[in-house]
Amino acid sequence: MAIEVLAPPLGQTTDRVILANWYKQEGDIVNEGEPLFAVETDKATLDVEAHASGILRGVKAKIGDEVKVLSVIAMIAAPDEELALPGTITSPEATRAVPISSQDAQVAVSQKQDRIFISPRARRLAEENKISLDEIHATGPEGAIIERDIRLYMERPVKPPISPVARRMAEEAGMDWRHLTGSGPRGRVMSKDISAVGITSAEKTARLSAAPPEGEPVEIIPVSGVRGLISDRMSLSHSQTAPVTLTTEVDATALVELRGELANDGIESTYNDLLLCILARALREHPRLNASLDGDNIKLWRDVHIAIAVDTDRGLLAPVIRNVEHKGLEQISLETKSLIDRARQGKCTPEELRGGTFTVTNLGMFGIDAFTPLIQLPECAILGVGRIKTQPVMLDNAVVGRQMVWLSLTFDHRLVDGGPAARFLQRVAQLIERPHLLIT
Amino acid sequence: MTALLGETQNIPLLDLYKTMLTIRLFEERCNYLFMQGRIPSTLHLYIGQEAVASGVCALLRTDDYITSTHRPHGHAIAKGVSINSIMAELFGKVTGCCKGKGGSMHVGDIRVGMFPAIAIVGAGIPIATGAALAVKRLGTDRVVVSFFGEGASNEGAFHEGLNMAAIWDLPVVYVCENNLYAASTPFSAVFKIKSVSERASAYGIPAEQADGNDVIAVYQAAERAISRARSGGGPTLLECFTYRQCGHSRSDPRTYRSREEEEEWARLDPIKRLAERLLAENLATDASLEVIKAEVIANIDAAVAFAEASPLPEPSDTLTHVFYKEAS
Amino acid sequence: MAMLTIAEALRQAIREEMQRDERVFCIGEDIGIPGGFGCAFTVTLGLSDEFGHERILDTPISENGFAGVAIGAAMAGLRPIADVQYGDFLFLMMDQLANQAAKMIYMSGGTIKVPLVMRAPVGATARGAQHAQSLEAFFTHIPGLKVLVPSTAYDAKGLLKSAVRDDNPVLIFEHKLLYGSKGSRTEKGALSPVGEVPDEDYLVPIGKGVIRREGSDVTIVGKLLTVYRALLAAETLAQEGIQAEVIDPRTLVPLDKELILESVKKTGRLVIVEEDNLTGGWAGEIAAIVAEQAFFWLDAPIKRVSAPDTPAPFAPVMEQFYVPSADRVIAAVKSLF
Repeated sequence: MAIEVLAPPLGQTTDRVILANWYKQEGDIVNEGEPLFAVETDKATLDVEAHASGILRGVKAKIGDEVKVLSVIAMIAAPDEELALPGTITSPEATRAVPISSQDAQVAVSQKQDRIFISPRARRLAEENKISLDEIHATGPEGAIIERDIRLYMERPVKPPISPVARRMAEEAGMDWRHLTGSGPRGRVMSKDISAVGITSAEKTARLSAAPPEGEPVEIIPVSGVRGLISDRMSLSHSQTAPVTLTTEVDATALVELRGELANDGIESTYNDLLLCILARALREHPRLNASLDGDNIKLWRDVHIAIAVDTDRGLLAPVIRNVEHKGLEQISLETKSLIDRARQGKCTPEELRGGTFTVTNLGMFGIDAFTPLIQLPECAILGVGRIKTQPVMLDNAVVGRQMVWLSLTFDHRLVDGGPAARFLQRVAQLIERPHLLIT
Repeated sequence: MTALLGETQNIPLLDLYKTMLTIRLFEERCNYLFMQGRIPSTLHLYIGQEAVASGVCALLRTDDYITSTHRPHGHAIAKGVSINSIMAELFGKVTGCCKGKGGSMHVGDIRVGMFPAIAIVGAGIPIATGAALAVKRLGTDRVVVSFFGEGASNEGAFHEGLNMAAIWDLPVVYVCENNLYAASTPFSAVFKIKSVSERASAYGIPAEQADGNDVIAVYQAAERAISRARSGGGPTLLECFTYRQCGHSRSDPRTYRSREEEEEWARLDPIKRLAERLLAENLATDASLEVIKAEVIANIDAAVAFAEASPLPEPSDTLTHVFYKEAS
Repeated sequence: MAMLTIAEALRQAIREEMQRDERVFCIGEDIGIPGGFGCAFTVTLGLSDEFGHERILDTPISENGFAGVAIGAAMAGLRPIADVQYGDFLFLMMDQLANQAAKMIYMSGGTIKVPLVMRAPVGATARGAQHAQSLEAFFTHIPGLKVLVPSTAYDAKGLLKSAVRDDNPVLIFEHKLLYGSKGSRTEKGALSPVGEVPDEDYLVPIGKGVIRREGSDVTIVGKLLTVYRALLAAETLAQEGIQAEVIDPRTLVPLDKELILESVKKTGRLVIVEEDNLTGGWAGEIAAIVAEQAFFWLDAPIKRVSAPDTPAPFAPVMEQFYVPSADRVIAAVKSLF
C-alpha cells in the first residue's frame, strides 16, 4: 500500500513551503528515517525524513516549487505496486488582489448639510412622541438638542391657559385674551395681565397730559380690571370710528299711554322693553344700521341682537338680548330683567356679553336728555335714550303738555351715511310716537 | 558516572526501561503525527533526555508534586499522566488532560501530582518553592521536584526561587536538565561557570551531578536528593548532563550544532545503554525487550486511537474555566 | 461595632481569617519583622506576635520569586495573602500573576485553582513616579484575575475576607491616602476615612458596587480616592442645582455593570473619574460599556477625568495638577449641561 509523502506543516506564518531539495529521485529506494527532501519555510530550511521504506514514486514537486502544506508531493510504494496517481499539483494561483477603487475605498461621507445634533436620549424621546425635530430649539452642550429641549416643547401650552378670574374679567369686557402672553406659569394669563392691558394706555395718557393737581387725592382708583378695559375700548371706539350723533326730540305720550294700558291688563314692562320692540322692527327695516365691520367687510345682520347698557358696581356692562325681532314684549321683559339683574351681580355668561348687533343706552333716570354715546365696536350704531319729561309743545295751534324724550343716535360714518341713519332714527321716532304701527 | 553493577539491585530497571521507551516512542509518534498534520501546533520533544525524567520520577510518590516546562511530555509520562490523556490533549480533544485548553506545553494531571507545565522559562521554579512551602506547612512529608533546563537557571526566578527554598529549608529538588543548548544558544555563550551546580553554593544548598544519559546514575543521585528533602534536610540542586536529540521545536533545523556532535551523543543514547545493561545483567533478552517494545507500541496505538475517537470541545468551551467556581 | 481606619480594618480582616482557617498565611517583605512597621502601611503590624513568623512570612526582596512562591503554595493547598509594598512593584510580578496565576485554572481545564490574594497600595504621594502609580487597569485586562478596590473601612474588611475565601487569584488595591495610618506612617494629605466596622464576621460580596450618593442629573463613577473627589464635587454641584449620583464600584472585575447602566439610564449623563493616566485607562472601558449598552439613554457625551498621560511628578504643585481634583470633576459635569 503506497504511503503519501506530504509537505510538512513547518511554516510559522504561512501555509506554504518551498521544496528546497530532493535527496532521492523517482524510482530510488528509500529507507525509513533517512532524509528524503528538504523544505524552506519562512523560518529556516529543514530536512524531512522518510516515514516509510519503499520506492519513491509519483514525485510531483520539483526543486523550487512552492507547495501547500500537507499536500501530497510523492508516494513511497512497494517495488511492483501499481499507483493511481492523484492529480498533479498546479502552481498556486496568485491570489488576485481585488484593487480597491478610489470610490470604494472612500468612506461614504455623509453629505448631509443640515445635520441635526441631538443626543440619543432626546432623539428617542422625540420619536416616542412623534415630535418633528424642526420645531425644537437646542440648548444642550455643543449646540445639541437634549432631553430638556424635547420636554419643554412637549409641555408648551397649545393655547395659553387663563385663570378663571382673568377669564371673567376679559369676558365682561368683551376682550379677546387669546393673544395675550400671561405672567403666570407657562404663559398663563392672570387677572393682572387683563388689568395691565388698561395700564399701558393709561401710562401713555399720563405722559401726554398736563400735570395733575397737587396734594393728596381723596381716593385712588386704578385704571385696571373692567375699568381698564372700558377705558381702552372707549378710547379705541373714539379713535377708530367716525362717530356722528344725530339727536331728535320725540313725543312719547302715546308710548306712555300704551305702557299704562298694558299694565292695566297685567303686563308689566319698562320703556326699555317697549323700545326694544321698536328698535327690533326699525333695525329689520334698516339693516344698514344692524351691521358690523369685520376687517374690510361690513356685515349686515338679519337677526337683531341688542345690547343693553347696564351700570354696575364694576362698571358698564352690556348684556345682549338675542333675536329681539322674534320675541314678544312679555318675553323681552322677562329676559331683560334677568339679564340686567345678573349683570349687576356679575353672573352673566360670556355669551350673554357679546354678539350684539346694536346697543341701546338709557341715561334718562339720571335726568339726561341728549348725549353722545360711543359705539360699541364692532357694531356700527348705538342709541342713547334720555328722560321722558313733560314739555310744552305746540299742537293744533295750542300749547299743550306732552311727554317728550330725546333720542341720540351715534352712527359710524365709515359704515353708514347720515341719510340712512337719519331715516332709521326717523322711523324709530315714528314708532315711539305712534306705537300702534307696530302691529302692522 | 556509571553505577557499579552491584548497586543496582534495588533499582527497578525494567520499569525504568519501559518508561523511557514509552517516552521515546510516544515522542516519535507525536513527531510523525505532527508531520502528517494531525496534531495542531508545534511540539517540544524530549527525545534523548528520557533518563532524567524516568530516573527522578521513579522515586516520587503519586502525592509528590512536580513542575515542568514547555518540554513536558517526558515528565508527564514518567510521573504517571496517562498517555491517552496526553495524546488527546495534543489532538485538542475534550478528553485531554487539560480538556483541550492547555495543549502540549501545559500537560499535567494533579491527580498524579503534576501541575500543568509552565511554558515561561524559569517560572515554575518559584512555584515549586511555594508548593514545597505548602507541603511542609501542612505537615506532610511530600516533596516537590522542579524540572528545568540550564537556560532557565539564568532567569531571576531561579535565583529567587532557590534562595527562598534555602532560607526556609523547603523539601524541594531542583533538577536541571543541562542539555547544552537553550534553544539554539550553547552553554558556553551564556555561562562563565562550567556547570549550573556551581550555583548551589551561592544559596547555601547542596548540589548533585549526574550523567543524564545514564538512568541509574540519575536514579541514585535523585535518591539522595529526594530523601534529603523528605527527611527535612532541605533543597538540593541536581544537575543532569544530557542531550536533546531532536530540535528544540518542530521548526528547528539544528544548524547551530554539528552532526558529529549529534552522532556522538546518539552513541550515548540512554535507552540503548540501559538495554545493553539489562542484557549484560541478564535481566532481559532481545526477545523480552521486543515484547516490551511491542507492548509500548500497542499502548501508543491505543492512545492515538483514543485521541482520534474522542470528541472535540464545543467552541463555547472557550468561555469556561476562567474562574474556579465560587467557594461558598 | 468600632470606628476603624482602613488599615485597621484590613488588619482585623487578616487576623480573623487567619484565626478562622489554618491555611491562611501572609507573605511579603517587611510584614512580620519584629520591631518593624507591619509592611509599608502598618496593615500587618503586630500580627507576627500573634501568629508567628511562619504564618507572617517575610521574604527577601524577590517580588517575582515570592509571587511564584505564593502561587505554588496556593496550588498546593494553602491560602496566601501576599502583598507588595508599593503597587508599582507588581510589574516585577507580572509574569507570575498574568501567565501563571491568572491562567492556571484555565490551562488545567478547570482542575487547579489558585486561591491567592495579592494586596497592593496605589496612588500618588510625593514619592516620585515609581512609587505613585494607580495601575488597576492593567490587571482588569487579564482574564482570570479578580480586582477589588475598597475605599471604606467597612468595605476593606468585608472585601478582604471575601477575597481570602474566594478560590481565585484576587488583587486588592488600596489607596495610600485612605489607609488612615497613624504615627510615623501618617501620609500627608490623607483623607483617613474612618468608618464603622462591625466586630463580627461579615462579608462584602465581590462584584457588587454601591451608590454613595443618589442623584438624578449625572452619574459619576470613581474608584478609591476619586470616589471622595466625586463626593466633594457632588456637594458643590448640588448647590448649583445639579444632583449627582456617585457610584463606587468596589470591584473592578467582575464589574457591577448593571448598577452603572441603571444609573446612566436614569440620569442620562456619565463622568468617570480615576487617578490613572487617560489613555488606555479603566475609564475608557466603562465609557465603552455604557456607549454600547445605554447609548440611547445618553443626553450628553461621556466624559473621563483622569491623570494626564505623564509619569507621576514629584513636586506637590505638579502632583496636584496630576491627580484629578473635585474642581476638574465639577467642570466636566457642567460641560454636559
